[in-house]
Amino acid sequence: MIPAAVSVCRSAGAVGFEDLSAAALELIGLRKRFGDHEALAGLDLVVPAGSCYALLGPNGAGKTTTLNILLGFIQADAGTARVDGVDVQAEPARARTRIAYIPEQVQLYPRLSGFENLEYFHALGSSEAASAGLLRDCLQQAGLAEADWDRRVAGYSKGMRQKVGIAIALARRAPVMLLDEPTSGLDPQAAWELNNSLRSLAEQGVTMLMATHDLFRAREVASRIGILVNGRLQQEIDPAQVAGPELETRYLQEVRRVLGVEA
Amino acid sequence: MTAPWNRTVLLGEWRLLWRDPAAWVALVLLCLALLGALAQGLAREQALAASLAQWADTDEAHMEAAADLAQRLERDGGEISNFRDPRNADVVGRRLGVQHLALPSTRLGALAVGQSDLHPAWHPVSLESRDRLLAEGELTHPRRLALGRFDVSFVVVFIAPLLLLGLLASVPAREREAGMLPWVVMQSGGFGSWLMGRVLPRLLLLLIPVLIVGTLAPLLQMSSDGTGGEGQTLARGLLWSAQVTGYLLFWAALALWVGTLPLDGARSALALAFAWLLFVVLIPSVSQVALDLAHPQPSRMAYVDAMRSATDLARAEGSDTLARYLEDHPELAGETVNLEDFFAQRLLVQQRVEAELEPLSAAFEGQRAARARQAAWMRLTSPALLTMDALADAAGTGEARHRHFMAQVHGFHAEWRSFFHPRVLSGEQFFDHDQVPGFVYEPEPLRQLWPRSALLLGSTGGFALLFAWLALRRCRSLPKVIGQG
Repeated sequence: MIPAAVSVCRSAGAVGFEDLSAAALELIGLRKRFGDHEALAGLDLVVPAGSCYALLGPNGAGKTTTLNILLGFIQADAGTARVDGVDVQAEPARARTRIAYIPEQVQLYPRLSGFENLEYFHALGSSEAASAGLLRDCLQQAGLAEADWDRRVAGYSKGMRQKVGIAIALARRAPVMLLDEPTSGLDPQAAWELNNSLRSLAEQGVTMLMATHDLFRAREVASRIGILVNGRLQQEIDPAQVAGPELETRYLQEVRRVLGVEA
Repeated sequence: MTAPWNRTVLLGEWRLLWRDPAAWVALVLLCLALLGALAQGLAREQALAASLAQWADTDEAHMEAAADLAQRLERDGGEISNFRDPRNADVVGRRLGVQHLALPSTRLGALAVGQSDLHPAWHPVSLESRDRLLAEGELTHPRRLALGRFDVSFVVVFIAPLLLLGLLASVPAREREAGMLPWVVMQSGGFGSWLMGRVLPRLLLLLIPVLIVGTLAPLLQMSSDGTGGEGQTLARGLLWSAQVTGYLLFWAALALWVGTLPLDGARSALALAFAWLLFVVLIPSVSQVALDLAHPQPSRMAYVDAMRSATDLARAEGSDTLARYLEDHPELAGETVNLEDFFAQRLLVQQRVEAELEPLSAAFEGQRAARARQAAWMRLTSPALLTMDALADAAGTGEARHRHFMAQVHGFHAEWRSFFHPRVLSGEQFFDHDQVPGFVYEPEPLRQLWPRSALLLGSTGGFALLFAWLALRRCRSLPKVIGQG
């Protein structure tokens, strides 16, 4: 049986998925209501393994709600969400073992160094202690300068904390990575470095779902972009097929159309 | 729930604690309070042991001196007042030979001074009535009583929970405020296990010094009698340590539960402070008021009034009392009995007064027993009350051990009287100074201690389990716990 998500994506003019069995993330008919507000109105979304998907949308579109459902922090009212084949509503703890998560604000323990934070957070989720060499590799891959590894995090910038967050996600060796506004509040240099790290992860086959407002960074790193408005996926775009300004135009047109906002 | 307490996590927690000034402040304050309390407890025990030894020596010396004087007077003759004559059984049994029976401290006595005003560690025994003896006073200097008791148990019951809650108030409120919880939960795979991993090192940080002091106290109190031998000291030490652990576990479980509520740091601290106030101050105070209302203390005034009336009546009847007594006990009415004998009359007046007061004493005793039963139930309302009693009980300064001692005192009092009464009534000269009964304290068997301690420890553990269960239940509702619900 072909999931409804595929027909939705196709009807939106997106590139179809050739190998559904390799889907790392599957959201089918996902609904969530907070009081009178319908955060998700039957969201269908499939992210193939090894791809990077950017979920764009205005505030209140349902991006963070989608991530929270995938993380098992919120129960959906209806629909199915699977991570690497595991139903997150039925087995949230098991599903979480397949996810690495980088929040908008990576908060670390300020009295520990970057390396100690990595060591601590990695050990939280693992019964085996990782070798110092492996953890140092993760920090290196995440792009944190070696001179900062043993400095206390209290003196880190947001970008540096974000890099430690990526290193923690890398050390977790999870097949799926969820990112919530990863470039928010980063200066251009830090955002560029972050994108490089994410591209490197994508090359290693990590599946990524990224909720963001940052169209241009999303276009640089994502293999597919979805525009989410009013809790429903309105359009999917292949970033390789559109230029930056065109992406912005299409995004704004879609948002205005759904929300009924005048240009 | 997984348990991410591997070596690296614990190392990380210890690093966090090591670099947290609040943890150092709490640790230093606790250590200072413990050392101060221990020093005070040891000094008190030393002073008490010295006083008891001095009383024992004095009692012995008085009896020897009385015997010597009696022999000398008999041999050499001489004048001496009837009221100081060591050949008079009443004088010896009532004044010269007064025995001060001692309740020797256990080796843990310094840890819990107990209510030394209510449960004095010594009791005088003479021919006087029990009530008269009770009013003899306390060996301890009144100033010491006025100062109250600052002992290790006080530190454990009142101060240690405050410091522990101070350390735990920000766990996990700080992470929740910083929006870190989803991230932490994602990493650890289980909020409950992560939270326990955070709480336990903080608990251990404060529990370990308390247990060290609990172990040090018996070692430093080597001079004590240590009634019951090493086995009893070990058992009491284990009970003391188990109760302290159970009590601090209760506070940790309570903090764990508060930690699962969606509260920020300020509200979390407020909730924990209120919990401390509730369990340590409010519930004990309300329990006391309820106890006073339900079972008021027997009126001392009514008792004294009845005693005076009975004494007046008995004295007024004077020699009739003695005559009636001898009619009842003709075997004592030898030729040497002098009906006008002051000492015999006094003794019989005293017996009559005691007989008159017997129903009132029994009623008062019943009232006191009912109050004690009610108080025992009311302890179950607060782990602080349970622990205060349990620590005193384990240290040997509790009510039960004192009751055990008092039963022996009463037995000895009866033995003393049955030794002296015939001799007083016969009016013969007394030379049996070396035959007066001696008192040897019989330690309380451990089989009596275990059930009491098990009840107190089990009840405290019940409180801890209740809050741990509430916390675990909330942990199952993850969105609410991490503030996403």
